[in-house]
Amino acid sequence: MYVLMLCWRYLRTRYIALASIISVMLGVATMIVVNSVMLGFAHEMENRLHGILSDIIFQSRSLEGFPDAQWHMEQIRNVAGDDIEAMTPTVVVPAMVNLQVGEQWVTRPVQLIGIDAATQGRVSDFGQYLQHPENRRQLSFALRDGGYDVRDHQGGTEAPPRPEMADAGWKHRRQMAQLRKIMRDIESPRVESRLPAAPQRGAMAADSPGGGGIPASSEQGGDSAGSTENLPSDAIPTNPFARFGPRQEDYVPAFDPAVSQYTGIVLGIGLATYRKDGRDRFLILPGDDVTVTFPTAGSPPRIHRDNFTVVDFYESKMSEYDSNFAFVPIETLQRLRGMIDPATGRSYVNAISIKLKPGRDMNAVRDRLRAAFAPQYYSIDTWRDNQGALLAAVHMETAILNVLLFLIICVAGFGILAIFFMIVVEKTRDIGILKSLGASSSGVMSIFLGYGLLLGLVGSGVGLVMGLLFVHYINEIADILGRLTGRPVFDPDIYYFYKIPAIVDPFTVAWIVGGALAIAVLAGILPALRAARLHPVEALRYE
Amino acid sequence: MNRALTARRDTDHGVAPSSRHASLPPAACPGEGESPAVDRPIDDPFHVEEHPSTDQDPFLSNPLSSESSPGAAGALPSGSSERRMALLPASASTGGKTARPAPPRSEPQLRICGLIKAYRKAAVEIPVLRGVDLEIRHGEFLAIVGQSGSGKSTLLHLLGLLDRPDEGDIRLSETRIDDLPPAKRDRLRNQCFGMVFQFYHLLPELTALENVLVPALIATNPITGLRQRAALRRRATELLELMGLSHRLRHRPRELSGGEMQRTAIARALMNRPQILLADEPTGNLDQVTGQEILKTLRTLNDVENLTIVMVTHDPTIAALTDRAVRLHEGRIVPA
Repeated sequence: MYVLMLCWRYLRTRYIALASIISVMLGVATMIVVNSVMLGFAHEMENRLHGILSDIIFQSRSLEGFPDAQWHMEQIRNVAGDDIEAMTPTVVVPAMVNLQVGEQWVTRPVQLIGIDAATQGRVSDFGQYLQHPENRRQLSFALRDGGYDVRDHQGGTEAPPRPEMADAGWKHRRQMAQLRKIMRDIESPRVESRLPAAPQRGAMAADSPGGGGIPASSEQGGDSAGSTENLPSDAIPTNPFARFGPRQEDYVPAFDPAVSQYTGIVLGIGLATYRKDGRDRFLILPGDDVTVTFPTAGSPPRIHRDNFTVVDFYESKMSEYDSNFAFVPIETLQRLRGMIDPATGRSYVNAISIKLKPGRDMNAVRDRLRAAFAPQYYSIDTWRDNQGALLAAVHMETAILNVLLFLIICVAGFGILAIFFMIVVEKTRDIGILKSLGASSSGVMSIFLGYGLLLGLVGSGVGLVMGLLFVHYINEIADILGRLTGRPVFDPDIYYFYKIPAIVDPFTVAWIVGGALAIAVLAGILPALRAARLHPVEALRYE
Repeated sequence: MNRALTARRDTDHGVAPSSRHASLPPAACPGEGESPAVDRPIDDPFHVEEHPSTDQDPFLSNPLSSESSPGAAGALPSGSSERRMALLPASASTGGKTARPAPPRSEPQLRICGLIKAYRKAAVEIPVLRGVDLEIRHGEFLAIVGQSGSGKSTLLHLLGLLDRPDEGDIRLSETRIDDLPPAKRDRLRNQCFGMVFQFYHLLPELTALENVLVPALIATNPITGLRQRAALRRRATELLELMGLSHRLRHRPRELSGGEMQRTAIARALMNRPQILLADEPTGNLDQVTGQEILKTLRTLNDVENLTIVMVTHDPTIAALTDRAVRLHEGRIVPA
């Protein structure tokens, strides 16, 4: 009982101990803040990484893929049917996207992914990242009339507006078509006269496989024809084929960009935008056409080029994805790449995305699938496997930061040790007095251990509250700091988040507080032992 | 007024003083069990008479209490006299010094045999005690006189179990106590010995009241001790009131005068109802007048409560005020 009283009294009267309390407090608060922010980032990142990827990706090692997705899906179901919620076949090929921006062409490398519009949304969060509310509900590769988000729907109220998106859709397409027509009329009426004949798979609607009859070779011809001499440089991609128009006009209806579209394509938003002053500026909008070049499935592969109409943007906030992926309807891609066997009508795919039921062990299912399918033909990975390096990097950063910060608390521990030694020396006589009154050595020891614990409790308690408050108001604090220093602390130009993400993990917090307490008590052990070993007579004589 | 205080008990029967009140756990002192407690003077066949009040109350005629109020003790609530009896080691009062019968104790309370103690500094051995034999009887006020460095403080520390002798033994009520394991020594030191030092040795962070409480707090367990807190506080307050310090309860030691600090230290020594009070030059740091007051307090404790007191001093005039004085010379006891 005297132990408690003396601990409490020493805490209240020894102001030097405040120094160690403050160092424990700062250490704990910093660790909580850093861990929360890192966890927030990691979580956000995992969400984004996982957003587009399904749980398990079943892939062929060859670019040609494997035939008969249905059969494979049956087999997968046989192996792990209980755990599977949904599957969708995809075709993934490396490709090149050409955007026409004003007078010039911009070329970007992409992963072109053929997806099934109906089922893709079931295996991943793909749909959520689209810009049109209807597409988020159910993706359609047909261009929408309008109604695209003018404000990032994931960004909350802080997101800057995107006024350009107000016109996106058919309205923009008609405007552009009209503008281009006027430009052509002004610049070269000669070409204009031949334009109406320019055909390209006519007015076929984006998704309709009915357009499949158009031979891809027609475009290849245009490739070598060279359009520079007699075509305006701002011509839409159809122009190169204008010279062949008369030949085709008999059997192909005229393609008028103002009323019809090519096959729809969903571009990663990073391909179509750049950032300036924290705002997204658009190079192109839904409604514009792009040219995509990709290898066909034959061996050796040949180059194929086709036009697509941008129908939406995909924005996962992971720049790696947003500037790398483009999605087209799987049937179109299969047809254009020659992945449909003309004899049997069976189509090839080169990947199957699998979504598991919630709570199932991804790795276990992966291992079962790996055991069931020949590894030399199929690569079967979880999304974590594919993004492992990135996730591991984030986790390693967190771990290293934790080690460094824990060292800070250790430094605080040495501060406590030094201060305690001082207090024990200062209190030598009091220790002698206590012993002369019958206090046991363990009692004297527990005074100082208890004192250390108390310092740790107060320090980590205040640090805990400070840290949690800091995390809670982290965006406000960042704003204030930004205003004070004149430089934004958290620049949305660099990160894709508008706010600093922070997640407080109670388990981590408990560890931090427990660790700080343990260090405080450990630091008290040596001085406490010294106090306990003091000889009462010598301690009483100590001056 | 005070039956208990004035009750007289024939000590020839060898009845050891050990009645304790129920508010505190009884101390586990050797020798306690062998002496049947006599609580109620009314049961005492030798109970003589009831003295009429104040002049018989040594505490009220005491200069200590006169400085506090028209009677720190007199101001106690009714029934306080009985409680006061409980506060102090409840041996029977023997009245004033003059009325005191010659100490006829049959057996010694504390017996020291052939005590040898040397201090080692580097390779040099400095003998301090070279064979001390001493018997201290119940209710005795013994002075140990000696020059500085004669080893009297060392002897007192050995008696108070603060140190271990090299050779020889110390017996409390015929039980050897110097070779007990540390936990038992701590407990004995806490329960059976009260110590008063030249430099008071109060804990500077605590108030006078808390300082007095410390020995009791050391004895109580933090969980069950909570219930006794009020009782302990009351007892500490009453002890301080008896010492004439009722107005100083909440003061820190540095706010007290030397005499007040020493009286606080005495109150602290009495807190656990010790059998023996060990005083190491209690007046050594005080001026003449204050020192006399402290001595009178000790004298009164010895007279009224029959508390055994062993006092170490270098001053023969102070030793003259005690029942018996021995001299410690060259590590041995010689008659004073």
